[in-house]
Amino acid sequence: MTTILESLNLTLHDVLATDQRVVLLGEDILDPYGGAFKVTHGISTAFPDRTFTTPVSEAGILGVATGMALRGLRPVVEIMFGDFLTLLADQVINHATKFRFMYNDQVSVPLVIRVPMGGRRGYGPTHSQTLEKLFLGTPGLKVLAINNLTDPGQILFKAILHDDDPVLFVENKILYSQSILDENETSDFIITTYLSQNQSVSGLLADQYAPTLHLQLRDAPEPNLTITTYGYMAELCRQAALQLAYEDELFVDLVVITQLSPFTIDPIYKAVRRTHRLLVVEEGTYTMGWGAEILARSVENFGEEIYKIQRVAALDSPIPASRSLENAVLPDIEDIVHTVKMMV
Amino acid sequence: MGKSTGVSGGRGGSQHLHWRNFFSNGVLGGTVPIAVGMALAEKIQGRSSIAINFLGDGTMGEGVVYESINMASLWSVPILFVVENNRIAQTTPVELNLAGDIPSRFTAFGIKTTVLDSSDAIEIGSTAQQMMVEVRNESAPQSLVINTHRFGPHSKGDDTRDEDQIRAIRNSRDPIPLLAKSLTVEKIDSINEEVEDEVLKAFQAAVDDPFPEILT
Repeated sequence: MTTILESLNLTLHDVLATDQRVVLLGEDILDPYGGAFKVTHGISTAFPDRTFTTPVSEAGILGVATGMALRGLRPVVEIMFGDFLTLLADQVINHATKFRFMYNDQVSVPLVIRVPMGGRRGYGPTHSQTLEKLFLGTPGLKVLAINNLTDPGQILFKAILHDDDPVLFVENKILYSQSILDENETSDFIITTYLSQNQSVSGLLADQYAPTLHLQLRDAPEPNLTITTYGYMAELCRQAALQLAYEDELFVDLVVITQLSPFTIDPIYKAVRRTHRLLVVEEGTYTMGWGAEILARSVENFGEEIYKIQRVAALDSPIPASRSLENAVLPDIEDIVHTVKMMV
Repeated sequence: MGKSTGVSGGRGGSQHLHWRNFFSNGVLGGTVPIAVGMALAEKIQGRSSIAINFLGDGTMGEGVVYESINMASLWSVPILFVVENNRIAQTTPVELNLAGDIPSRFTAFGIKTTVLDSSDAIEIGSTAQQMMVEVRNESAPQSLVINTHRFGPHSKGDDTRDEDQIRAIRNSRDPIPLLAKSLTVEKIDSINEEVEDEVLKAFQAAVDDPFPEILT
């Protein structure tokens, strides 16, 4: 049983061994500590010349990595907490993601920003947020979020070695200790993988290597609601779907997104044109988030084929440190189950 | 002029230049870590290239500058920082936005710093050349702070300084008349003619060239 942490760690070893152009930068990533969440454990011992433990300078690190990418390297940056993405926003938005376009395709910036994200660990208001929403829709930036249904190492491998544009690679913290689900554990579902055939969205390729998954309950009646989600919420939605099926005989299918931005609505449409109801579930705050965009696109594209559409998200509140208060702010299985029951 | 033959095919303006190894952007301080990263990449790939990063007195207000010069010194990165201290940032004189002094900002991070008070291109050129040799040979950063003056507005019509003051600065510090002193009148005339001709041709070509295709 490989955990998500092990998969990511093995992949980092693998890419550094495979390609001399890969360099790793981040705070506190040296052994024996090996990074705040241990994703980089062992790397500095195996590849001391290509591992840079950095000052506490998120914007500076991102800029240095961008410069390295312009000069032939393939840097991977670890940002210790997703909350600190605000510190490097200018480097991502006004520099790394602009260069290919504003220098007229004469350069590319192959750069992966790995970032632990999300709450449920009692870290409080500034170490628990789900902030990728601030970067979604940034032209020139791919935002990927891993889940426990696809080996995240394979996605990271391709992001580092095969993608020539900046990638924000979001790793929910709760996922680290979880196993990548195997066929037995997902045997209640038929899982189909959606990869676009080199479809370009906003100048970047959609879902080329970061698949969207469609989970349909095996041997179940036709579902009458689709849940779309990403990240660790996919696991909560999977559990909610099972609970709804076994306890309430309500059948829903799931569309689990990996590439949040840029994106195509097609895989969601494929599911919703059968179920006509869509619930969008995210850990980020409710207002102006990922779910709002999915709702907008669905309403624009699905017309009368969609009967009901709703969101489950975190409250529009900072995340408290106390577990009981944190649980009240973040969406859980109960919220999903309750909303589904209201919609069908 | 936004034409298809412009430096970035019409996608960038005067702030977004890229030609060979020259890059510029319009956000102050943002290019400093990028130049450090470029130089570091050259170093770890075993090449002897260096990076040169141009900054101004106004840029000293951006925090990322200090993150970057820290890393440049910490990792002994072959980069020359050139600070053009023209004593004014857009409309704000340096006295109103900068505490302490500029050279100390670099020496505080252990970066060898040279200060020039000059607009003599020959003097600046030879100093910079010597520094570039040292940066390359020692594979370590240096900074060159050039105290100078600005002769025109930041953008177009945003110079709030007294016109007489600007005229006086230009008369004493304009680098072109300074250079011209070493040339004969005939040589100056022929250079002026050549430059005029080149600029006119480039301008006319740009006028005649099409706008870029609109991509959907």
